Amino acid sequence: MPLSLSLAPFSFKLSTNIPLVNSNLEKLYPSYCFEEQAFTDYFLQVHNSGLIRQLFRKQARFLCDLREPFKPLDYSQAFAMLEWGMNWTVASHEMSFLLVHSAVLAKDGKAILFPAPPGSGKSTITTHLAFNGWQLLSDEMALINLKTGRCHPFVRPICLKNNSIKLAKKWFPHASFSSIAIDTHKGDVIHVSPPISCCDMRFEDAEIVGIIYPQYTAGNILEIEALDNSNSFMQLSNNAFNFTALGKIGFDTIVKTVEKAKSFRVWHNNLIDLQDFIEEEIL
Amino acid sequence: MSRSLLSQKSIIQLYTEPQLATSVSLRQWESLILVMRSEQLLARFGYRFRDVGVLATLEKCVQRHFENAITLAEHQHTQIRYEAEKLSTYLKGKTKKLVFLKGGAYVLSNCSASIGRTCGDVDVIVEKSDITAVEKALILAGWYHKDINDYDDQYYRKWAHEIPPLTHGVRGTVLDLHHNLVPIISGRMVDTEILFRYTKTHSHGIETLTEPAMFVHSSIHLFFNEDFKYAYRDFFDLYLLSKGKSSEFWIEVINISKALNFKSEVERAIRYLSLCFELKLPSETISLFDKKLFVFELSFKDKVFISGLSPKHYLSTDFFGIISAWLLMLRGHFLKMPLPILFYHLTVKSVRAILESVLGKHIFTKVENSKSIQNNLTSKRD
Amino acid sequence: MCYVLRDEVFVHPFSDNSGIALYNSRNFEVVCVSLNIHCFMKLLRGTTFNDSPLNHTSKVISELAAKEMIERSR
Repeated sequence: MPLSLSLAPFSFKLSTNIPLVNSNLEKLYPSYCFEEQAFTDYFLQVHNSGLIRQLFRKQARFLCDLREPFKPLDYSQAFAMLEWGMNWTVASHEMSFLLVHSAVLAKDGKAILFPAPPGSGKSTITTHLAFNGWQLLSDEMALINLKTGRCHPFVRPICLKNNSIKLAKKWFPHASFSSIAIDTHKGDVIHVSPPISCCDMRFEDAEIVGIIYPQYTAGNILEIEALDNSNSFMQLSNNAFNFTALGKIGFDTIVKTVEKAKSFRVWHNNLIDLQDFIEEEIL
Repeated sequence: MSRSLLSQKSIIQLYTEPQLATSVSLRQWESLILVMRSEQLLARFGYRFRDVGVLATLEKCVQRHFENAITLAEHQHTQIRYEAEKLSTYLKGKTKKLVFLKGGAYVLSNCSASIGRTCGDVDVIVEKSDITAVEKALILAGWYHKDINDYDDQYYRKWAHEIPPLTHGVRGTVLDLHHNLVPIISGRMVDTEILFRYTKTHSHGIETLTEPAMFVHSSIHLFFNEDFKYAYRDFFDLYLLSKGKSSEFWIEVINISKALNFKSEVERAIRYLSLCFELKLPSETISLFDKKLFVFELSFKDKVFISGLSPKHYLSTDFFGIISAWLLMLRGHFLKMPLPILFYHLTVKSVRAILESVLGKHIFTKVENSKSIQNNLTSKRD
Repeated sequence: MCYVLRDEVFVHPFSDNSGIALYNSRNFEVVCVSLNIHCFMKLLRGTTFNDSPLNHTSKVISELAAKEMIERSR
């Protein structure tokens, strides 16, 4: 029986025969997400792979209708595969927003983008801010409205890797964590559900006032470099998924975003210092 | 939901009578959008609904899917034009003729079949004597052959009418370089000297076939083929190429089909267009065709073909659809290859397919690690 | 504030005078020039086929830089 997944502004229906996926969904998503929806945007599947594969080295496969964009993953990563599959689905089809590979959080209707490649400590920042009064719009993918330039929420669990997992479990022991996906190449991956207040604000868009390019550093200093618009433009466009496909309107949206926001590169170690800087200097 | 709205006929009717879109329910749209997207028709319908003012009357959640598809198609059209310009300029002097075919050609010639047309790759045809030189020049310019096993490589070079596909190293565009319209092993190759009499030049020196010749080629591609995966979209192409055309067009079509020796494929196209799209030929041209073409009664062969020209998505198809696809595949292989070679070819292919179906589709594939998925998502993508 | 240079190249000089962003709608090429540190940063997007965009773009940049300087000196 396919499961409805209403994840504003998109809606999915999921078929899966992997119990791990169902149990993680129930743990990490509020119950209203599973209510029957009037219209489904995308039909997804996460299934076992092949007959003989069921018996040894079990694999999980992701499909978006009939398209299979990834090669199979190890079974333990089935839930993570669904999360990445949803990102792929949105990035491949949605041309109604400029999509940026970035975390985005807001306070009082003012949003900060955190575009960052893996390893920059972005997810740790995301988790810290989300559990300290900030509204999580997205952990992975910022949705920027092409007409208004405002950022729309796409609230989903935060993806944490390796050491971040231990830290997050230590700081927020009562949060809902998924099962661990074991990946020997990169370490372990886990998803954590943001506070329910973030889900309650899933329809509230925000104005982008700041762009921070974080870089985790050893050593207890907070180093901040203000970026000029042309520099920030180059970095932001490198992180935009569908920039080219959108053409001129994509270009205009990125230009407007950097013009309106203050941009910084930040080397950080202490999240509280970083939060203070953002709240005092940017908001 | 009932299959009736997802049938070949109903979807065609939505195109020819787009006002009917206003009576489709949200649930029905869910399935229709899936089928249209899978059949590569979503953008085409988006343009159609937009052009007649129906798109704006649909629910916003439905509109968005069509608008997304339109944006992607427009982007692709710009890419095709740029790619064609570059190829035409670069290969000038390295080949006597460079003619664009199929979807790319529709876009480049801006003909009515260009509407919402998406293409997986760019198809061109050159003279056989120029193939090696062109291939070498393209490789020097950054195009390469993706990993291909020995068997498939041999298939292409020895038997087919094209060389293995080339991919551009930076842009990722896939180029199919042909030297004929049908495989040489079939014994029915066209005389390219005749074919190249029916070309037209557009801006930047880009050459395509003329519209009547495109209709003939599209008919050959559809009815001298074993793969009907995108036949429904190609059927729509044929309809758009022929809609509202004058008798001069049809006379030219007949002449070209005779000259290339593919008259029956063109006649088949006309028959099914009149049956399924209710295509009306100009009255003065009807007498040029055999009356049998317009007979309403369907033979078994007609039913198989019409099924082959229907959507392949599991929501639309039925058991007869699966059988027809299989019969048409056999027929197509048989047309293209002499029996002994066909046996050999199918055996090799079947053994691989059996292994994959028992041991899993990815039996030959290593388990992916999640890092490459992250890279997949975050790498520059169009 | 974006203006058009030729039919397909769109230009945006940044309001903080830090540089210029250019977009070529024919091949999706994006070039950003940082005027502060006088270097070209080129973003290759989509289609640039064997014709160095810098040759085409550097001419454009020079035209622009000159134009901008004139504007600002008014």
